[in-house]
Amino acid sequence: MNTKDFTKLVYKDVPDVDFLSVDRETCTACGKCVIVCPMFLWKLSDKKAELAEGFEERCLECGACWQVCESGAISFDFPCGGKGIVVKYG
Amino acid sequence: MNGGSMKKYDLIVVGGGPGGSIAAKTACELGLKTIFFERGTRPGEKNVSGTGLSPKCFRDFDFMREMNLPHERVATMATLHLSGDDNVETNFFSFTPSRNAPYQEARQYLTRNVYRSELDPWLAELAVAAGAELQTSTKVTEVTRDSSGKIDGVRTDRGEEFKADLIIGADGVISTVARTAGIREKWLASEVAMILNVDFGAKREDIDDVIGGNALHYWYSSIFPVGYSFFSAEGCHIGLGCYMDWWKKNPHYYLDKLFELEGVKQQIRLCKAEAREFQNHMVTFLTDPTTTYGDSVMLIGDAAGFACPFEAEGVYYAMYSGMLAAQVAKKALERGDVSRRSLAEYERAWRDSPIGEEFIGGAAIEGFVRGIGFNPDIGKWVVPMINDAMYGLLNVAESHTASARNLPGLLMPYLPTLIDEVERDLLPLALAMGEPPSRPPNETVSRALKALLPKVLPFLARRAARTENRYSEVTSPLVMEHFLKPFAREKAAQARKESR
Repeated sequence: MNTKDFTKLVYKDVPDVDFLSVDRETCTACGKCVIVCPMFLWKLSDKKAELAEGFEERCLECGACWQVCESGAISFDFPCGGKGIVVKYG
Repeated sequence: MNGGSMKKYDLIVVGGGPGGSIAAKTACELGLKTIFFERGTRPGEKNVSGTGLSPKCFRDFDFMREMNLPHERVATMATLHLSGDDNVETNFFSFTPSRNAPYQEARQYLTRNVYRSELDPWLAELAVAAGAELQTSTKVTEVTRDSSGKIDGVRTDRGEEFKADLIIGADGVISTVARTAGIREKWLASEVAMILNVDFGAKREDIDDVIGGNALHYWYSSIFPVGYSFFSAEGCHIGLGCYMDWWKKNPHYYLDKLFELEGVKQQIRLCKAEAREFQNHMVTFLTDPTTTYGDSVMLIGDAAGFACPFEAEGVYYAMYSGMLAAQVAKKALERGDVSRRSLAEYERAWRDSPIGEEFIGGAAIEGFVRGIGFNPDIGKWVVPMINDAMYGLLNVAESHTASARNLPGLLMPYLPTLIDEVERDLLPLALAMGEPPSRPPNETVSRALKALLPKVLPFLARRAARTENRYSEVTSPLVMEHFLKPFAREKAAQARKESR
């Protein structure tokens, strides 16, 4: 079983504002965001956390990466009203 | 800022989930002019839940008895499955409502499983019917302050301002209201869990045939944190979760294991269920909510951290705290004092309610959940122990007499770990349910257990070993190791002594 396939089952009205970002200066490359993200949107490059291309279309807006970021490098705020993740069968 | 567009209310509720809607509904019924905001295009669009509404919801809220949602399934049985470190299921146990449960709903079912995408809009409609104004597709970006620094309303991402003397933050685990009102920045990683959830669709008849009312399955494992499969009328939610400070590998590593479990695969296969949606959300697991209000602000539901720290039930606590916050709002506005000191009444109210009751044993519950429920490592001995106990009692591999003689020996190796675990996580939980004892008796109890059990079980095992079995050998390797070898040595020593 590869539950990674489930990550295609996400519905969004893609927001056009930055709701998630990382401050590379503050990032200590602890890698916790890479571990917890169930959508595989984070990687470490040049010893800094980096968001995947097109993360806006896939991010579940759960805030897990922001929650585990101890250095406070990751900023997260919900996308603007009416935009972002649409949970059809919550 | 366009001052003319400012609208004045008695109460602003930020969030259109079950908590926000019940707060708005209650406030309107008490005569307060109320508006509530929802980020989604409709309530329920941003929410994920395990789906089970507890009987408490229907005991405490009259209007809930009118609930009639299209995809509800009533769960009359829950099943706990155990699996070992080879990811093979070894046991399952079920339970149903007790005939002696304290009230009617509790005697009828365990939970009523529904979709939040159906429940939340229905609850919001009740609030609107009571006179509340609902504004959807609107994100509240911050609370606003007057020239003296006193909180006097909220600002939205549309640039509008709304004014009220009181704000109720019903905006979830990552609460903008809590943050911008200066009540709380962020939970600790140890206070929050994340729950991954996969939604499946299936035909009602197929689920009726395969699952029926046995609609709550828990998958307790030695290799992943406890998983679940909960069924609604035409679908199910399958997932697992753990504390944010627990994850050592990506959650999909554990999710893969859950979906490799034969029992889970079987449910999906037999119900012909198809995956429809992937979800993830955070839930608080607090020992004691301490940040639930501030000047001009009360927090309810997930924003206050009111999810039950045992199995993360949230809807009931959100609704109940919403009702209490609205009642306190009415009184605070009447006495013209919305200061932190005045709103302390809210904390007294929730502590003196089923919410506070849930948190009396908070630290002990957390110990239990962290120590056992969310701890696959403990499954490595708990699962085989439970299995050996069942096997020892019920197997037909030998005569029942021989099996009975073998039983103490089968269980003996688990004793030291079991007693430690009972002392660490179970006794505190049991004790937390009563009045706090003057002196913690758990040490006394466990000392007695530690002294007693290792004497009783070997005694039984030795008695068994001394008795000759006519038709079968006592061959359990554990029994051999722990009892027969020492016994044989004892016998040999005795023989040597006698021969001298």
